[in-house]
Amino acid sequence: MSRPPLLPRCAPRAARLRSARVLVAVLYRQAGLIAACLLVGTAASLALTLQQPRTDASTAEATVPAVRQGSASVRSGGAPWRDTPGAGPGNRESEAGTMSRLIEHKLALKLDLNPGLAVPPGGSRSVSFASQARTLQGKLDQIDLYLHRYPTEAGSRLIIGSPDRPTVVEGMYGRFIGWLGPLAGLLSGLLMAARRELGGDRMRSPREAERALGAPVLGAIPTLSVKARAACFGHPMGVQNA
Amino acid sequence: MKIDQDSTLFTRIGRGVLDHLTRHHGAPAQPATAGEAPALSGRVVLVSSARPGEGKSFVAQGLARVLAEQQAGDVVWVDAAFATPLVESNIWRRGAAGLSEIMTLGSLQGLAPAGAGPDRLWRLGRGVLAQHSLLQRPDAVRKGLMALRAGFALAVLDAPSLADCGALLAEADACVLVVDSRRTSRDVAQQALAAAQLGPERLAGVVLNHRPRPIPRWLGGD
Repeated sequence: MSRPPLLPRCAPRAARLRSARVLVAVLYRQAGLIAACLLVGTAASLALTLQQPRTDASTAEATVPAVRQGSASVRSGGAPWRDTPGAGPGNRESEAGTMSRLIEHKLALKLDLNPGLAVPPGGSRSVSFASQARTLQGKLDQIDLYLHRYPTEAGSRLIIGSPDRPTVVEGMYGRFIGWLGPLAGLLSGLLMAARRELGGDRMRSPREAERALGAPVLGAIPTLSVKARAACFGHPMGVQNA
Repeated sequence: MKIDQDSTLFTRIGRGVLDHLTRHHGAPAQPATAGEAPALSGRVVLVSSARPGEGKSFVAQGLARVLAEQQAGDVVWVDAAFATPLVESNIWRRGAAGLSEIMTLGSLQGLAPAGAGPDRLWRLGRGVLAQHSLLQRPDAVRKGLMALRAGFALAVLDAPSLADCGALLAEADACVLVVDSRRTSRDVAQQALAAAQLGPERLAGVVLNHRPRPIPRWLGGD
């Protein structure tokens, strides 16, 4: 034996329609508020993203004195790798390794700045690497000679590090912040709109006022600008004291 | 939110008030001309609200203007908001004489044409004797309204809020309640109406001010 339904069959559909109407009303009337909150959230997210600490800047700062130190030791007649800790004069293999690392570092720097130099068409990577290293070493020698000839130029040199690339974690953080702001703005806008639309017991339409007060509604006046109010009378008929 | 003005808005409000007056109190007619006994056929319409600052003055001015166009008699707009602080810079509103002098001295002074709009539209300030307590004296209020009934087909009173109207509520023929949809809740409006004891024969209707943007029909609106 089946039990009779507690609600009429049409009730869920009516409730759904009512909810849809409320949602439409909230979105339609409070579109400006929602858009404003969305904009504020996006702006806050943008500001946060731009204020992120750039960790690569400190690395670049540290690179400059190290290379300058190398240049200074060349000027004083010594080898730049001799300033590297652990590379003593009696350790030839260590000196060669340090020099190799230094050249590789500078080559990597150059390749980073010019990716097209990585592998020449038709050539192997090791041949290209060796020739590039020789070219780079020659250029470095020319620079050192130039700085030795004109010592005052050394202070004005600026060594540019490789371009900053965010790490995986930093990238995820940036994307998270980038989405979080607009999303939070949209949600807060929807909440405020719902509160304004559904909160309290204001009479928002003539039908609501008629139902609540039991009197006919003669008219509903929208919010008018001063110009529109004056146009109602053709002239400002007096002060608006109420 | 700014919405284009509906040019027929006050026309509909005025028609509703005239219908109500005709149904419950008889159509307003211009009182007898000079030389005859005053007929007191004029009607008094009160524009009030549950709380101060809901737009009574704006509605009263618009209503007086359209009523002057919709019927043949003279219409006077009267500043009866004695409880509202007076703007001293507005000389015509302050007036050397006005409704308070009519209520106390019985003389109809301080009347002036509205300046713009229909020729049958007049205005009357509150006068220098305007005191809040004056509205609580039924004899004074009756005397003032009697003078208005004898001189005009319709008098539209820009009244204070319902709680401050005093004897005006009992003497007026019809009351238009202005409700600010942004500020006034159902409870406040219902309580004010219950306290004023306005029956359906004297409550002409409600004007909803600052109405939110209506939802269009194609979106399921009213």
